[in-house]
Amino acid sequence: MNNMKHLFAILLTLLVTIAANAQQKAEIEVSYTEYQPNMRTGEKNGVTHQYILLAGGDNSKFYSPRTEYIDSLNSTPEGKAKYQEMTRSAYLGGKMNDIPRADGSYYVVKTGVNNKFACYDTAGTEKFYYEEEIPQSNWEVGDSSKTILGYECFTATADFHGRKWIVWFTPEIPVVAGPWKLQGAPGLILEAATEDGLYSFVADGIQQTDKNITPIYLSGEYGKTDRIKFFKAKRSFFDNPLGKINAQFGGSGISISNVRDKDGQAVERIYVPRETADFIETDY
Amino acid sequence: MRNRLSRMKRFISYMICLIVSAIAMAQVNVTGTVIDKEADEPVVGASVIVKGADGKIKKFASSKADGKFAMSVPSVQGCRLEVSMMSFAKQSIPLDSVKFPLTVYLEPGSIQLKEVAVKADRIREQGDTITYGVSAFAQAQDRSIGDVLKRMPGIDVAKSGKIQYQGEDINKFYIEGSDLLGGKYGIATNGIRHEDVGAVEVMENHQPMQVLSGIAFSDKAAINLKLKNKAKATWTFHGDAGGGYSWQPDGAIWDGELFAMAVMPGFQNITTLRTNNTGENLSSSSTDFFADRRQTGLSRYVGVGLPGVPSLSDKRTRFNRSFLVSTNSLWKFGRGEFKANIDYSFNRVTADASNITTYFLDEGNRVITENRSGTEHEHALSGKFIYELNQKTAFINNTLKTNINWNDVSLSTTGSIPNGQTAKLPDYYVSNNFKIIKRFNGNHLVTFQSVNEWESLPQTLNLDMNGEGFRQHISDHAFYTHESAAYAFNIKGITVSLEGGIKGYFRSMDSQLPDMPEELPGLTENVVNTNYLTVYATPKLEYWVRRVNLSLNLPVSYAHYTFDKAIADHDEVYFSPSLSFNWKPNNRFSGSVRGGLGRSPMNLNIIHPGLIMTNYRTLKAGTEQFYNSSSQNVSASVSYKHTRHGLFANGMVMHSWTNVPYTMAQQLYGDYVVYSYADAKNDSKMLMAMGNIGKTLDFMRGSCNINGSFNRNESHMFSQSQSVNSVSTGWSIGGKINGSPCRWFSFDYRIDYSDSRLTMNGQSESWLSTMENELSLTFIPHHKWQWTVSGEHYRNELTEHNYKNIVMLDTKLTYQLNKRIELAASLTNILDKRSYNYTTYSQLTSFESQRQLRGRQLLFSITLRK
Repeated sequence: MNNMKHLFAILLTLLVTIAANAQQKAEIEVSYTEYQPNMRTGEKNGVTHQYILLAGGDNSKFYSPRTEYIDSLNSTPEGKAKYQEMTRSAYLGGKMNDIPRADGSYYVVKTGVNNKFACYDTAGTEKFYYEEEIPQSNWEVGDSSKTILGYECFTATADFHGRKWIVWFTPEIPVVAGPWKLQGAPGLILEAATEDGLYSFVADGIQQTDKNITPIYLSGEYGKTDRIKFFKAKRSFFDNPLGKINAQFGGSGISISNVRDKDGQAVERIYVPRETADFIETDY
Repeated sequence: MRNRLSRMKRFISYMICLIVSAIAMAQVNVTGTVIDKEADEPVVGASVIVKGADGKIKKFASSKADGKFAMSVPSVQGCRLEVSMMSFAKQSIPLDSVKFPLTVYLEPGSIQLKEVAVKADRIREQGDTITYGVSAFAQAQDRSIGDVLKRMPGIDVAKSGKIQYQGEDINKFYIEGSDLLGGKYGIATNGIRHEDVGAVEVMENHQPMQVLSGIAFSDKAAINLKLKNKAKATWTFHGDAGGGYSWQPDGAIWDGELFAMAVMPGFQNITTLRTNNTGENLSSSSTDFFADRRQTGLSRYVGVGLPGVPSLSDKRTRFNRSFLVSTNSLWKFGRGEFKANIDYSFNRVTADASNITTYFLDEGNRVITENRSGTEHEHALSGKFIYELNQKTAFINNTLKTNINWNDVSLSTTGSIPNGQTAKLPDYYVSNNFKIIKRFNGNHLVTFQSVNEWESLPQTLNLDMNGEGFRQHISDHAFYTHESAAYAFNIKGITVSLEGGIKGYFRSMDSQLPDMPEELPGLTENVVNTNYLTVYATPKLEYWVRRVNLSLNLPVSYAHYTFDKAIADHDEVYFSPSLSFNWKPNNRFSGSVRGGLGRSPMNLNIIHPGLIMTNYRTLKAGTEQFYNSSSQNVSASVSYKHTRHGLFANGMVMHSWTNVPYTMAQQLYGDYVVYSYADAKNDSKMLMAMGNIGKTLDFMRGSCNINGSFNRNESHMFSQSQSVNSVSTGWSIGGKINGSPCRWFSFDYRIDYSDSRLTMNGQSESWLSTMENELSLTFIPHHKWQWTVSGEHYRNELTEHNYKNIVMLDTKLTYQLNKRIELAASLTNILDKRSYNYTTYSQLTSFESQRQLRGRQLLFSITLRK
């Protein structure tokens, strides 16, 4: 009997803790546009994605709302059916633009208490998840300032995962957060770019919010790995995508022999080599 | 020597050590703890910055899990330590003479963000659904969700409260996916606070009956309110109570509202109670915007009403006492739902007016002057009970509706014909509509429908004139029944359906007006039955291919009319084909073309052999002929949207032709006007065009809108045995803009300009214009205070180049005591304008009116919310 009571108490505490965690509220919501090179052509700023940062206290989540919408649909059987129905009806109706498509691929969730980033991303056709210690902020604050979205921002620079980043942060918004894994400056980071300009984030909206920082949908589908292994896997996919796909799906009878460009020529490399344009992190 | 050198070396190294340690000593360790003063707990993640005398950031850190921070700086001379965190007030401490470790206490406070709407949130599009973020469109002075809907480009809220999307009326209004209110969605748009709504979804081409999806096309859109979590699964309440003083009418004023809402998974309820005597019209909260036309077809013969004002807002002209209570519930059980909507409203409206009516006649104009003073009492009780099952394979709906109205009007007139009129005009209506649709084998549909309606519309008019009393009583009852069955199937995008049914209509009317002045021609008693029995068939063809929908309707009916001796029986065949074509090449553009022609029977209410009095001066002589009218119409409409740019545009052109084999004529007998019907070839043509463009203005969290319209009506009319050709032409243009360019200021501006002209037998009256400007400025000097100044300017052209200008000014001050309580004081019509004159023209008359306005009024109110 006593044991039962104990069990209940433990369960209750557990539930309350879970509920308390789930109720983590954001205080601000910031929208960013991410610019990155087109990995097929190497063209600078060839691809853009829309991301949202939800931040409150020392927790934050950086995600692409369109991707999250599709993941949220796919997380329940009814949603999945709705998603398939939407895709089907758009396809049958010839409205290719209506087919719901994912946007940016990754999620970065920061939990201040554990001092950890949880990163969810895809490498080719596989979904991966890894944790990473939040690095000590070594931002070197510079002298210049400029106004972004009406806020006075200061510049700061730091080396981070193989690239030199130049960011603009505003002490007027005392939230130690920013786009992607960039954070730790004494204020919200509103703009960030690598020294070579290959990758950048620009804030285009900011508002107060009371949204919950909800957990990632379908988190169980992501295979656990570490950061270096993840980028190595991603690189190996980009270097030999067909081989990867055929190796994964070959058993089920699907194989792709080669890809032709619009002139009908067989394409030797689908993605540009590492030397032309590497990923956002290069220290793998 | 050697020794000395080594001693020297030792000394130097000593010195170096000393200097180095001195430098090390000069480093200041800035350490401390950040504490939440209220909770007395450490604050995690606060931003801690050491700023130099030049304001530059020297060093920074953030507080750790125990609230502690540590940095070392070479010197703290002239430096300040700034500690800040969201939802706390910033602390700034000079470091010149402080001892470390420091304890920094943070007090609750808010950091006001300069918000720039998060773009992805303002308007989003996914397939056929467009989502508007409510907070991205709301301005400080907005209260209800209706206030915010008006600012969303593509959505238009008419003065009546009716919502349109891209120029078309919406076909459903949902709250969290449930259709609780039906067409009385004004209760929600006026009642639900915008803070409780997260997003407004517009679903284009919405087919409310799931069973028809993929089979029947809908060009209408529906609106769904997505509530915030805090407003779900709980009761939310808010209430307003206000009292004050008005200069005209002289006396106390009140304005109160109570609103309760529950939105739960299996149950929804909205209950509201509203009352005021400040001129606010509550009818937008009690009008059913989806109500079908009653098939009982009764309309009042007696036309005693209070004069209306065409171009001023109600709050300037209504002298009222109003009360409304409405309770609406929805229960979901199993796969179906049951809804009950019960409303009661009371309105007492008074009006005083001086009117000068001029009748344009060939032998000269005739002028009648009257001063009218009237009171109208209206009680309305309505109940609607619906059971509905809405599934992919079956749809069942039974709707039982009752409406009971009691209208009493009394009107006393002085002038050329002094008199007093009182009218009792109750209306009793009951209907039941049962519909079942079953889908089987995927593409086959069977529908049964049974509609039964009954209505009684008795009318009593008492007239006291020159010391004589007249009393006219009319009793008018009708029963309508309609049974139908339909079958439809779909193959390869083609839907073929056939509906057949039978309609029966039984109506009896009798009227008596004893002791009528002898100058009037004809009888003043009627006993009439107008009945019909119709069998009909409606073949329908719908063709869907990729982006095109083509729909052809071919209704044909045979009707047998009996009139119980009043006039001879008639048998008629009607055929009214129509065709529509809708093209949606992509998600942004949509266009449609429609056309139809047909023949329809006359309004049966005008069949009566004797005279019926409409009011003290007008009588209607019915007709003893049976007529059919014919009409043709074509229309085209386009709409375009680009949600990412927040751009919405639509346009429409319509042309119609009507041929009516009779016309209404007016005849004067002494002081009486008698309207009668005469055989005539009466052709009329109408052209109408309108357009609308809306755009978001993201840089100031606002939106703007431009609209324009043109119409031209040409008709032949028969007056005193002469043919009259009249053309009325009008156009209008309007614009709206709103925004919040900075944190402490927002504005709303609207302008409408219209011009119209009447031409009779080639003789043109002058163009007469009206212009209306409305501006509202809101200042938020502090987040607890809000001050609004607003006003309207009207410019009406009475006769050519003769303008009547009037400016109305209002102001309101609001103080937010806390999250729950708000206090407000408002002063309306500051300039105390008390009268307004205007002239309007109808086809054969001009009507000049001098009207009273509501004078200055002061109102204090308190708002409470849970």
